[in-house]
Amino acid sequence: MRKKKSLCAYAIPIILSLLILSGCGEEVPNTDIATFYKDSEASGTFQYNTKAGIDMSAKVKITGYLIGERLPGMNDVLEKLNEKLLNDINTTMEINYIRWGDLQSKYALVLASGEDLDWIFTGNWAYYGQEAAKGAFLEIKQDMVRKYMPRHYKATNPQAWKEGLIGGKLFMIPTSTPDIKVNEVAIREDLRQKYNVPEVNKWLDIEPYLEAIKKNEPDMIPISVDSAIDITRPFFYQLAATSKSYFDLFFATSGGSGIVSDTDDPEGKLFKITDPEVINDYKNAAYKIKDWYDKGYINKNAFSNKVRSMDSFLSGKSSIAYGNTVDMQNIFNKVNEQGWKVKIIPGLSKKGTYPQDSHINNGFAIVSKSKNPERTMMAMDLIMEEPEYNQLVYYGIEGKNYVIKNGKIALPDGVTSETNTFPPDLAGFWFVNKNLLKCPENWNDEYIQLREAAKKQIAPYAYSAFVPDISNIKTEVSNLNQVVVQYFNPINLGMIKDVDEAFDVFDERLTSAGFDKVMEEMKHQTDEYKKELMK
Amino acid sequence: MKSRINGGFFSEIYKNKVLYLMFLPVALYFIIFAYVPMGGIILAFKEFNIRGGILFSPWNGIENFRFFFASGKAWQVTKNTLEYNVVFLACYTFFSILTAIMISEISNKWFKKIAQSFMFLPYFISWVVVAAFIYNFFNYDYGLVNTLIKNVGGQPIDIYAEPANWVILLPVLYVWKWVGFGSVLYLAAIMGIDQECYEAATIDGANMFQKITKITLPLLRPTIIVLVLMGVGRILRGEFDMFYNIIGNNGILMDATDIIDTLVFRSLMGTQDFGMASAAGFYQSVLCFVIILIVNGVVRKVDNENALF
Repeated sequence: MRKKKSLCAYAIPIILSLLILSGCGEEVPNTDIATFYKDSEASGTFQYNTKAGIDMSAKVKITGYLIGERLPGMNDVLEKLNEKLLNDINTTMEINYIRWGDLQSKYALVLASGEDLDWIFTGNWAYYGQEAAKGAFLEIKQDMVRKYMPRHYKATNPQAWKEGLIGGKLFMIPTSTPDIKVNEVAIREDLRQKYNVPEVNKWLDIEPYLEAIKKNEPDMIPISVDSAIDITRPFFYQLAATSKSYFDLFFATSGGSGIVSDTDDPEGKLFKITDPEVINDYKNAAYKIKDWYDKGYINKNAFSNKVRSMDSFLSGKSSIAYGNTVDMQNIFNKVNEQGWKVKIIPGLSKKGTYPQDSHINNGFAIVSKSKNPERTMMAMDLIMEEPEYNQLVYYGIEGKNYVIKNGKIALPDGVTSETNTFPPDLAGFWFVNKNLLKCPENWNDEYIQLREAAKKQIAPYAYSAFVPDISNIKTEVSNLNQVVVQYFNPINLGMIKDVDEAFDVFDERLTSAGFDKVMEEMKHQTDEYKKELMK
Repeated sequence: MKSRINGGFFSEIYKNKVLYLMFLPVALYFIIFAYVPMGGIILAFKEFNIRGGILFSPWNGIENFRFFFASGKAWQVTKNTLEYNVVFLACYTFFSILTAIMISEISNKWFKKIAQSFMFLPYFISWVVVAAFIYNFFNYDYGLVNTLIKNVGGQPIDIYAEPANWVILLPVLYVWKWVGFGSVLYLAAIMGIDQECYEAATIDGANMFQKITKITLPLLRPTIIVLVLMGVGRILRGEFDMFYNIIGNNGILMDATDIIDTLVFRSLMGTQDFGMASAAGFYQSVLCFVIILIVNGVVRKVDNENALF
């Protein structure tokens, strides 16, 4: 709901977000698990650990799918990767990509087709729940993980395994290091000073700034949102800042449903948006946004605009950039070139919190028809948790795509961020252990502070990893989704003629689309989920 | 009797073997891409899962159809689809014939070719690009049209917030895009008309208008009927590309511009359910089939020779 269901809604933030990852840097000692597969590393000869009972005598080729564009440097990286994999576990790997634009249509098709496939990137935003329900993924048992992915098992918080459960069964291997990020918004500090606007320290201070921009900068639109990602953000920043941080229960998985909960409520009580307890919070935000829309603070073409606020901001056409802690790094880099000053303020709830990312935000699943699940897990264990592999798939080839300067990652001489054939993070291996990665050199102090602040702002959210099982309510969920698009998104933009009337119609449509049935089912499922997590 | 038909069938093939050989690729194309996939229709009655695939997934009766009718929008989108397509088909046919006749009457060969090429050009432009044109022409904040209006001191128009605009604009765009293609079909038919008819009419003193109404149009009738019937055959298949790219997810416009295809796409994007999508496709196909049977029946009654079947 906050970002829309459109897949690219998730796609782009994630791409960007990943440019730089969360924790980086602390050297993690190479523990004894490294010797799990190898009897004697010192001797340099590789031997299979017969004690673990893993037969690796046959050479195996596994195939996987990642999301994103295939990078020009990918072939070299794969070659290097295969060299290492062949040496370590007698396996080679082929990796294909599903492009962001095709994700929605192709993800389900790749799994349904007869293609030979062993693993695929997945996450709560990337159809994990939907495909698991269709039987596309192999069920993962704890002892499999312990046996074939010992490094990852050790590195992962036990909570992560519980988060991935659907109906008590696990179908994915979640990342060991979820991103630490909160919503942020960047403003032009230089313009703020120029027009003598009082300092902006939080979202609620922003109105005078918007007004000044509207009045003094005829070529700028104060807020310019796009149709896929930022479209609902002005509303939700406002809603969170004035009341609570409400999240739609289906936000991460399939879009919107009208079922919301306060992310700071540990009980996670579920509401309908139009319930008397919450509707006034929503209406107040809607009045304000409508006021802004009518005054021209928000672009009138949001439904057809494909340019994200951050790009409009960077090209000087808009005064606000929406983003998150991770992707704000781009702003600093580019703004310095322009000679502007920016200030980044977080978009938090009234309490000052933002719901934490779950472990199942990034991960991979083994495809149910895979012929080599064991070898796949072993290979992924190395890729995710072995620093050498980890660095390779994330930053590329040392000397060619990166060099290490003072223990930090930097570009080699003669290579710029534009000409680098394997830019960090874009290869799609977002599930690797990011604590093992070294820090990029170009982070400035302001950005490091932002990241530090985010660590304190994130707060646990009862349903951050909840994946609804919709097999019995598919019809209703599909219909609610479309009701949200048709009747709630215009409210989010302030495009409606009358706020109260719009909410009445929205309520009516939700009900007729089968809201009550979904609500009942979700109450039941969330109760089960909470019990499961408590265990 | 039966053996005579069989014998007739094979001897017919033998007699015209070269012609049938030429037809073979077309036949294969339709068998592979149109007839074989038709078997997939069973998916509309199944609870699809990956292990079972299309053939072995469990049946679930008409459960998949429920989503479409429970949406509360089934009637509205069916009506929209039908209305838009009727208007599209009528405008398209009318303007294609008009253009074809005008082009055929132009004597300057050079101008004729240029005019035809320009009209044909939009056919090659995808709706994605058209949507970008529209956006840049009409967007409120810095669209071409609104900038002009603002410069002459007028009130800018917010086209994306007013459904009424689109009821006009969409058919206009449709005609703009397809008329070049349609006029070529009709032009070919006009070129096939025996020139002696026109010469005889000229000698009898007929003017251009009389020649068009008394010779060209009556002789075009079979072509018109066939092309319209083919258009009717797709009447419940909305022009998805057009609506999706130009209107997108604009909730304000949706009641006026939502068609079956966009509704299904929007609803199922999140759930990714093949069965439900097939059910909607099945619904469209059945209605199209019924409609074309009825229309063809009417044509057969009125003008037996020109009916499709």
